[in-house]
This record gives sequence, C-alpha cells and structure tokens, in this order.
Amino acid sequence: MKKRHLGFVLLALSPGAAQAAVKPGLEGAQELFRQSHWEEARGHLRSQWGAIPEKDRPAATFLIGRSYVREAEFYRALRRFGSEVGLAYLEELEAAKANRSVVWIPLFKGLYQIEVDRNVEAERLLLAAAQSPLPPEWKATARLRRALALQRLGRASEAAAALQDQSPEGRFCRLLSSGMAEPQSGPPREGRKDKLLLGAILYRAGRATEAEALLSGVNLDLPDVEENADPKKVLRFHDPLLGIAWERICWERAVVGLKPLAVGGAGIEKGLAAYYLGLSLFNLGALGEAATFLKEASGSSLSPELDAAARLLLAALAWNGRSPTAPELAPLWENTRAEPEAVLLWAELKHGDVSKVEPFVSKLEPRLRDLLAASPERPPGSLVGKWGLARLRQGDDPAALLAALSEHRDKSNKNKLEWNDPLLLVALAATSYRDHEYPQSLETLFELAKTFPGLRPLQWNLQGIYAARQRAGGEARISQ
Amino acid sequence: MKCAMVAGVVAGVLALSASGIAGGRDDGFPDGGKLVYGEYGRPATLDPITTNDMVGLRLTELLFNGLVSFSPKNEVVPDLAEKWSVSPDNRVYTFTLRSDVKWHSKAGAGDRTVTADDVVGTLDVIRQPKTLTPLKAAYELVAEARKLDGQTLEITLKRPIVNALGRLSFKVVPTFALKNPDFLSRDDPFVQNPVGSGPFQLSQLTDEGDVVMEANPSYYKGRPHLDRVILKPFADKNVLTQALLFNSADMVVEVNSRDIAQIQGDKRFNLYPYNALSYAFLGHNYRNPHLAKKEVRQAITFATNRQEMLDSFYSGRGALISGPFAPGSWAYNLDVKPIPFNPARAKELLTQAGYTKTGSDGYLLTDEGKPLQFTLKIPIEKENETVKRVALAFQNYLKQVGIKINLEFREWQAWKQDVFVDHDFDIVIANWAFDDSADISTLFHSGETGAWRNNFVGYSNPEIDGMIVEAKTTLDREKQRTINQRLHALLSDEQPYTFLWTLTNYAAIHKKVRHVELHPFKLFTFADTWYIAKKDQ
Amino acid sequence: MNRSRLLPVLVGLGLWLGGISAASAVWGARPAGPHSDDAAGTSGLGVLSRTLTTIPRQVLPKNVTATPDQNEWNPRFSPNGRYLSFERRNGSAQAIFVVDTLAPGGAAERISSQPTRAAASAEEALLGGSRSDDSFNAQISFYPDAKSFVFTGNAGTGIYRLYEGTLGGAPPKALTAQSKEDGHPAVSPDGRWLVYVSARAGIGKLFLRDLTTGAERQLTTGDKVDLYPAWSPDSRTVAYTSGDNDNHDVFVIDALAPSATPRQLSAWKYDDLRPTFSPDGSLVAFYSNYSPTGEEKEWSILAVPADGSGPSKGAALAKLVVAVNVVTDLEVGPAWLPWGRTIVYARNLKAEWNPIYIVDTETREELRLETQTRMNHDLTCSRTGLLAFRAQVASWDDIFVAALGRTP
Repeated sequence: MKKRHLGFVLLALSPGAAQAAVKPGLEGAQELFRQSHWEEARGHLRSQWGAIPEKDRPAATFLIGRSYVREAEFYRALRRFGSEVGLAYLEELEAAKANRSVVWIPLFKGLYQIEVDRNVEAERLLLAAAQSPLPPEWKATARLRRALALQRLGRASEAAAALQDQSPEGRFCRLLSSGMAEPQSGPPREGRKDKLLLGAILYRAGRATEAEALLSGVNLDLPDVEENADPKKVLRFHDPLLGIAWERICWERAVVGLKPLAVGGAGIEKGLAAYYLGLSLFNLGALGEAATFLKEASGSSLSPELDAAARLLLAALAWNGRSPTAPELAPLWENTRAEPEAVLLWAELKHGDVSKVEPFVSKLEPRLRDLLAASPERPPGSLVGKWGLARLRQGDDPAALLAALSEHRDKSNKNKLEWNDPLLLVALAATSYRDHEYPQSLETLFELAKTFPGLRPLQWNLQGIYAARQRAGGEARISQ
Repeated sequence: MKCAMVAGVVAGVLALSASGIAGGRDDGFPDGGKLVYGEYGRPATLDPITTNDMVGLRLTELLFNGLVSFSPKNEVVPDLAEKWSVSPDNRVYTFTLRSDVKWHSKAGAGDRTVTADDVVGTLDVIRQPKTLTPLKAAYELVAEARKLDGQTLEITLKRPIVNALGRLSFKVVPTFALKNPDFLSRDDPFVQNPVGSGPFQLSQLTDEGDVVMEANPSYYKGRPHLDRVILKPFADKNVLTQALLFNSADMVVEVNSRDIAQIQGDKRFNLYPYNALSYAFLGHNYRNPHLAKKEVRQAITFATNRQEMLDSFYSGRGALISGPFAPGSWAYNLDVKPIPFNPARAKELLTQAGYTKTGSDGYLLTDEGKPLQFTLKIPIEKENETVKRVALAFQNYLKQVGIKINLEFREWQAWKQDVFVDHDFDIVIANWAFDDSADISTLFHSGETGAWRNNFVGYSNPEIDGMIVEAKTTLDREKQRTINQRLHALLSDEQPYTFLWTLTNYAAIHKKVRHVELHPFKLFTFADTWYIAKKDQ
Repeated sequence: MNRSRLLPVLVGLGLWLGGISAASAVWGARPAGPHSDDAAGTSGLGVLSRTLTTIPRQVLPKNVTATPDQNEWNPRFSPNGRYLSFERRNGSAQAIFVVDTLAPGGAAERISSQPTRAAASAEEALLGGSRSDDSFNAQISFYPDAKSFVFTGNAGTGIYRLYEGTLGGAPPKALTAQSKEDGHPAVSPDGRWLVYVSARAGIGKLFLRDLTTGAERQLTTGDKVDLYPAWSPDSRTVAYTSGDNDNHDVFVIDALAPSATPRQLSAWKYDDLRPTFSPDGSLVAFYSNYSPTGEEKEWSILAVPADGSGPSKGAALAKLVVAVNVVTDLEVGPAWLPWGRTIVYARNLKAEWNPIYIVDTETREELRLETQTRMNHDLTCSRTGLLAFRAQVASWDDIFVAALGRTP
C-alpha cells in the first residue's frame, strides 16, 4: 500500500523517476521479463493480447516462448540441486538411530540415487524397498524406478517386464527411456503426481490443451509422503520424479509457444524461435524434430553465440548417442570455444556423450574456469548462473566459486529477483550449500520461493541437513 | 559405546590436522603483509571474559583459543583439547589438552604452555560472582570443573544438553597473568593488555586506540600467514567507508547500510554476508493489561507496514519474518506467512478487543477514558539515526489505527536495566542474534522471566513451555524440527513480539586478502589461514 | 556579505517561490537561549544578534521530490543557488538528479556516468533491451556557471573516477584517467581549480587540477588519508580532513602556493570531520565528537579561525564549540547561511525528530527554526538563502526547500 504524501507538493518529478505501475502492452511485459517475473509477463500479455498492435505480436510471442525456456532452465538447475540435497538429507536421516524404523528412507534414497546416477546402489535399494512393508502403490514405484536404473546399467532385459506397467508413472518412465508418449485416456486421475506425469505425457503427444486442463491448480510444494505416526515428529518425503515432469512441462510449453513463430514467422524472430524451439526439443529427447529446427536456425542470421550453440547441438544430434572421436571434436571445439553459451553447452554434453574423450575434457575445464574473466562486458546474470552451476558440477572449490559468483550479485538486494537472475540465485544457493553455508542458501531459496512454486521439497530437505549437522551450543544475544 | 566412538572420531581428525608444528605452514601460501581492519567504535576490553561488545568478541578470536573450535564446515574440531570423551549419561566431559600450545611470549608468560590449570581456572573465573561477564548465564550449567592431571581435566554439567561441545568453546585465559587469579574485573591490566595463545598476539595498543597484533611465531597450528593485523576504531560510518575506498583500511567489519552499494561498485573489494540468523523485533510486555490481549498485539502487527520500513530504512537488505526464527534457520516454518499489512484488519481487532470509543484527538479510548497508548522504549548506542526513523514510522502507522505511541530513548545499559531487571516498558525494539542451534527457549519459557533473563516480555504458556523443554532435551533432530515448526506457528499467532525482519550484515574485504573464510558471526575464527600474495604485500 | 545588495535578490526569489515561504514567515514568540537543549526555548531570554532577528522562526518548506516510495538524499545547491541536486537509488545503482528551482513542475535531469547502453544482440533488442544503468554516482560539484558540473561515478566498470557534464548536454565524460580511486571533487568558487581525492599514489591524497590548462599536481602528502576538501570563498585555500582512525584532524592548505605546508586547525584526540568555510572566509566550521558534557556519542560543531591563528587543542579549542549534540551530515560539513557567520544544523533531540537550529557563531545565540518536518538531515544553504534538507515523510525521505529570505 502506498501512502500519498499530503501537503506541500509544488514541484513533482516526471513519473519515470519514481516506481511506476506496470506499463501496458509489450513494454510492460518486457519490463516484467527483465525482472524475471516470467509468469506475470505472460499473464500481462495474454490479458491484453487484443490491444497489442500487429507489429508487436511477433515480439510478444517470442517473449512468451522465451520465458518458458528460461523457466525450464531454471527448473532444471533446481532439480539437479534438489537431487544432491535430497540424497544428502536421506543419508542424514538414515544415519540417525532414531530413524531406524522409518520404511520410507531406503525407498526415497533409492529414488534420489537414480537422479545422481548411482544406479548400482539405487537398484539394490529399490529391490529391497519393493519387498518391504510399503503401501502397494509405492512398491509399484520401487519396481518401476528400479527398472529405470537397470536400463541405465545396460540390463534392459531385466527391466522389460516392470516397465510394461500401465499406470501414469509406468508410461512416464517409458517416455523418459524411449521418448514415446502414450496418453491413452483412462479414468480421471485425481492424484497430484498422476496429474503431473500425465500432463507431461499429454504434452508430448501434442495434446497441450488437455494437458493444461489437467495441470491447473496442481500444487508443486506438497510432500508425496508425510509420515506422522508421531505427531511430534513429522517427516516429509518428496519424489524427485515430479521435478523431472515439471521441467519437461516447461520445455513443452516453450515448444508450443515458439512453434508458430518458428514455422510461420519471418525475419529475426523466426530464426531465434527456431533455435530455442530446437533447444527445447533437444532437451525433451525429440531429436529428429530438434534437428530440423536447429538446421533452420543455423541457416538464418543468428548471433555468433547462438550460431555456435546451434552447430554444436546439431553435431551432438549427429553423433546419435555414440561417443564422438577426437578428430570429430577438435574442429568443432575450435569453432565454438569462443562463445560462452556454446562452452556451457559443451559442459552439459560432457556428462553424456563426450565425457570419455580426454583431449577435449582437459581443454574444457580451464576454458570454463576463465570463461567470464575473458568477457569484456558485464555478462548477463543467467550466463553467470549457468557458469557457476557448470563449475560446481565440475567439482571446483565452492569457497572460491562463491566469491566469484558474489561479484555478480547485487548485495543491497541480495536475493531479490528484480536485481539478480534466478539462475544466478540458484547457483549461489547451490554453491553456498556446498560450502556448508546453510543459512545463506536457505535465505536465497526463501526469496525465490516467493515467486516460483516447487521449491518446497528442496527447502525442506536442506533444512533437514542443516538441522542434522549443526553443532552450536545455543546462544542468543540481544543488541540494539 | 559413546566414549570410544568419540575418541575414535577425534583421533581421525587429529590425523588429518597434522600440521600442528610451530613454525611455517605447509599449505603453499606465502607469509607476509598486514591486514588493517576498521570497526565502528572501540572495544571496551580486549579479553574474552569481560568483553561484552561485538568488536571485542571479534578481536578475541584472533588472540585466544578454546577447548574446541569450529571448522568452516561448522563441525566441532579440536583446538586446545586434542581429544575428549563423554560419560554415558552425557554429563561428564573429559578433555586431554595438547602439550605444545604456548602462551604469547610476554613478560610473565615466558615459555609457558597451556595446562589444565588454565582451563579450570578460566571456568572458575567466569563463574566467580565478582567477575562481570556476559558469559555467566551460558556457563551456569557447569556443575564442576576439575583438573585430573597437568593436561587433563573434567567438566561436569548439571544436566545433559544438546551440542554441549559447542557450548564448551569458551576462550581460555592464563589465570596466572591476572592481577587476581580468582576473578576478573575491568581494572585488571589484563583486560587492556591480554595474553592469549591464539594465532596473533597483542603487540601494541596505541594512544589512538589502534590495536596492533603480530603473528604468533609459536602458534601450534603454524605461524599465521599475515605478519600483522591492526584494528582501527572509527567514530563515523561514512569515514570508515572512505578509509576502505581510499586504501587506509583493507577491511570493514560491518558496512554501513547506505554504503553497501558504493562499495559494491568498486571491483577491488569482496562483500561477505554474515550473521544471517539474527532478526529485529518489537517486544510486547504482557504485564501491560492492554498488551496482554492477543487482539491488541496482532493489531499492532497488522498496522505496521514492515516491508515498507525494510525497503526504506535498510534499502531492502533483508526479509520479513513470520515467527521467532530467521528464514536462514533450519527451524523456520515455511508454511507460516508474515502477517500482512492491513490497517483495516487492525482496526477490526481493536474493536473486537473492546476499544470502541475514540477521543477527540483520534486515538482510541480505554475503559478509563484515557487514550490507548504505549511507550516504545528504544535503546540508543552509537549511530541511532536508523532506529529513530523506524520509530517515527512506527508511531505514524499506529496513529492511523488509533493507538498513540510515545517514545523514550534510553542509553544502552540503562535500557537493559529497565527491560531485563525492572521490566519497566510497554514495547521495546531490539535485535536477537542466534547461533545455528535455533534455541529460543530462554526467550519464551515461563521460567525465564526473572531478572536478567531473556523472557523479559513475561510470556507464559504451558503448552509452549512443554514444547520448548522437549525441543531442548530430545536428541532426535527431526523431532526438534517438528516441535520448532509448531512453536513458530503458535508464536506467530500469539505475537508476543511483532516479528520484524532479518538483515544481512556485510564485511568488505580487499581482494588482495585471499583464502578468506568468515565465521558466521565471530568472523576471524579462520584468520590464521588468510594470506596476501607477495606482489600485493 | 553586504546585505543590502542581497535584499532585492531575496525579495525576487521570495516572490517566485509562490509567495508561500515569504508570506508565511511568522515571527516566533520564543527565542531559544544559547546552547539551549530545551526544546520549548525559554521566553524573553537574551537579545538575539541582528542576523538572527531577521531570520524567520517558522517556514513551510516545500517537498521538492514528494516520492512516496523512494528515498532521496544529499541535497546540494549550485553556487548561484538556482540548481538543486540530490541522489536517488534504483536497486544498487545511484544517479544524481538536478532540478531547476526557477522552473517549478519541470522534470528533474538525471545524471549518470553510464548512459543507456544499446542492446547487445538482436535477441536482447527483441526482448526490449537490457537493464540500462547499474552505475553508482555521487558527490556532484557545480561550476560557477551552474550549468556544468563534476561528479564521482563508476560507469558500471568497478572503478570510481571523476566525470564532467553539462545540464541538458551530452552524456558526461570521464575527467580523470583510469585510476585506482578518485572522488570528492570540489570546484573552486572562481571556477579555475578542481580539488579532489585520489588514491593513485597509494592512499587517498588531495590533487589539484588547473581547469584551464589541465595541469595537475598532488596537493597533500603524508601517510594518512585526506578527505572532504572544501574551498575558501576566495578560491585560494582548501580545508580538509586527515586521519586513519577515530582521530581525524582538520587542516587548511594554500592551494596556490606550490610547496605550501598545511596548517593544522585541530590537533586533539577527538574526531574532527568535514570542514567548511564561512561565507566571508574567516572561519572554518567542522564536526567533532568532542562534547562539552563528556558524552561519548554526541557530536559538536566548532568554528575556528581559518588562518590557523586560533587554538588547536585543549580547553582553548573547546571554547570554540558553537553547537552541541548535533546530527552530523555524513558527506558534507556544517552548513553556513549566507549572512553573518551563522550555521544551520539539526540537533539530536530524538523525541523532537532532529529539529533545525540556527546559531550565530559570533554571539553563540541560537534560534530554533520550526519546519514541521521530522528527522531532518543533510542541511545545506545556498548563497541566496535557500535552505534544503532531507526529512522523513511517513517511511521515506524526501528533499525539502525553504527560503530563509528575511523580512526587509
């Protein structure tokens, strides 16, 4: 609520100087977009669509689609951070004598281990969980996820039977492993988890409207299991699969938003839309379609940065799941290493297809380290955020990384979205966590959670780790 | 068996910290250079027992050691004690001290090492009635401390507590160097000329109040890298910032709110946030019959636009809180939202509470026909412009809903006397700072309402009492979490405080100082590892 | 300063200012006694000096900025009193704004070292361009022509330098080369010289630039930081603060003599900050944390002879206290009024929200200026008798202006 000052106003400043209400139309949406209030920006445009001039509509469409790409990247970063934290929390729970009898711990530990590629341990835990006194639907989950782990271990034949499960979760797991969407209608699903998984499946099957109807009102912040046999000790468990589903939905929304522009647009918007559309499809595993649009983007007049990224993605698509050879990599690396966005894509690929090609790996790490120092202009917050997260994945020293990231943070508005990119904030929260600075990490997430749904699982787990590890004696000091 | 387990763990840690040789460190970083840091105000005393201001507390981190310390990862690590064991009932702690820790080489100390006598002596001095120290309350739980032999001692607690080791991290002083070895008073020369065992030793206290400390060449972890650390006191906050910007200081411990933006705009400095677990509050005295009504307390909160105050007076450098924990705390209940700013709702609550008549001056009237008014008692120490602004705004907000706020400014010590002893106040404004334990028991338990106890608002609720005791005594962390979350929800509803906000403090340090890790509020705990590259020295 | 020459100017200004301030000047009924902390004043005590009797006791200041959700601070006038500058933040970026007091209702001009950048890429342009300005700008000093100015800024580069610009002109340009740190610019009253603080040689020292030739030389030496330079009215002498802890001292130095040695105006253990010259150049006023009552946290204002002929320590210096328990301005020194040797300041009466007082440094008599504003800070007065200051309205600080034009 703003109070108007009464009285002696004779000289007033032009409205631009003070905090104004959001401007109408595209300009207002662009301002909201810059402040990372993406959902608000989209809502702003949609509610005024009729009043937006024709000439601005391509830019407005691009903004909507682009904001979904930003959101998908944000939720991907959050998901990865969340996996690390989730597993660590379950390990702390497991280590405490008081939790020996909690049947949920091994199950959820197994679920999180899949997320961090510890498939051997996951398989073992989930096998045991499937035979433990869990409710039937969770035993089914244990079997299904174990099947995913088996697949990743190259033991697909053992997984085949379990993966035939016709529940939404079964179909979603098949979607993850094969990219096939099977949205057959069945009885209406009320459960939160089913709605999310089905929503992702429907989207992949091209049924966006149905998907959105299903997803309306879904609450991302609820626990999947609340163990409260003892009311003074309430444990909450969160299934990481939902984070994967939500991230996919963001990419799918980007696809829906950008496709009209990529197909029917013109000029610079078409090329940009094609690139981001291709990127989104790549992340969804729709590789054929991704290649089509990336080729188109590559042929248009993209900036050097995006052009390098597009070429790199196309090359990755051409490898088709095999590890490329050093002679294949060398020229590609030379051609793209100058562009920060491309280097970050390399860092992503490193964890998949190119990880074993040694000459390349030893070049990537130092390049990644000095990526920002080399750039003359102040880099955008989202780039800094992605860079920080890539370096964390690389295992760099968190204390030094925290200092480097903090340079790009607005200290006066430490966690505020208007002044700090959400990806940068996730990177800061994740780095603070690695550096054992739990209060700083929780504070950052606290602010992010004011704008973005779906942070609660991560916050809950992180609070649990902090509670388990703190050793302070109990001091309270008063000051003025 | 707990003893064996603990000893085993400690032995493991000991093996890792093999650089316990006096002399150089083998971390590959260079020695040399000095660090000049600026503080706002001078420390009253330089010893860890009588010091009662943050400036002094930070200084003692450089000069002294404790039985145990904390690592940058917040684990308890050995310090003067190289190993310890705990009795099965968790009450008796037996410590074995290192034999190679020397007292700073000054007159009287010679080449003496730290012994069990020193540790026991320190605890005795802290608990001696004649010693004026803020540590008394914290060590009241010690039943007895006794020496077993030259390097071994036993501390018996009155009752087991969570994280007892963290509590037993008091700094040890050489009681033989005190004027009177039994107690410590402010006229003892030791408090201005302290002798410790820490990485730095006092070299000079200049007439101008500069505290010059030199590297302790015999420090048991190895000589710290920095040659010298100098504390310079400042009397004006802007000058302190200018000293940093114009190279007369390398570090400012707490950057003035308004200057954070200017320092951030200078690429030579890093800004480190700390002290995330503190928050500001307005405390309501339950002994005032009007404030004893929940509707009145809630109305005060509804009437106050805390977000606006945070944005204006602190440049938004913090977050509103909804209960007795900071958002960075593990105990914070994320489901409980702060009471929104809603003056209309405030007025409704006041009507419900029975304040239905208004006087000619616009203030609500009590049953006695007097204006509904409270005195806000404000502690004043050094810079007080910000808290004056907060008070003025608060007065204004409450006027809008018909409550009159009178203001009384009191000097800090007098304020504490009024609040902690005489309970002579209606509403107070202050800050609490906590460590990681999120222990709010002393603030709200009904047994803590006596003189100098923290529950000065006089809050009393048997349900809350029970929960507080359970949270303190259980060793089950998840249970502690659940109980604390419930406490958060209940206290948010009850509003014994109007919970205001948490603020981030920043330390600004020149980038030439490297390998900097800060303790969340003591700051200098790891300063022995900081270094300055040769070219920057 | 000759009052009879000022009078027509003042009347003219008074007429312009909507007649409000002049017309509402009300003779207060109660003169305050010297060094009186009594807020209500004591009636009938003492005869006020001629200067004080001609200043109104009550004014109705105008809220120049009136922004209900932003803070503004540090009002400064151009030498001719026409332009008023202040600072405002946008996140961590700070810009300087200038209003023309002769053009009410006009927009404020925004001054920054980093003008809006063009979008870095086609995509950025499509999304509406990037964030425009994250620079930090402060400490503006006007040329005598009042159109041009110098200020400190970092252009978002992380290095503070001096920038020079003109109102309504092209974007400001850097005036000093890339350096370690430059700040505190002060243009001499005659417009010939610029003095500023630079850390290019290590710690912050004063440097002097000839604005005609561009030649520069280091003005002060020594191992303590020198800050807050201020010019004497005749553009010959610079007063400044020097020190490195809570004992700063005030010095003056002859700016025109190449190898002048500074004269120390205060040499005691107290913290003495931010000297300013009286309009006739005979006195230098500064803040000191010396308090006659011995109260550690209270600041005073002292006024000492500018030529260094006065005492520099001890009881003799203490006698030169002209105001006690003052609210210090954190960036500039005590504000002199253009008449006689009077200083306007805010007194640290907490329950009264920093009321404004005016003291005659010769007679030590005071009057309290009723402004109906609260939490008054950053007082400054133009050569033409316009008082500007920052005061709190609800929860935010705005800039207020009042004409202290005296009744003829």
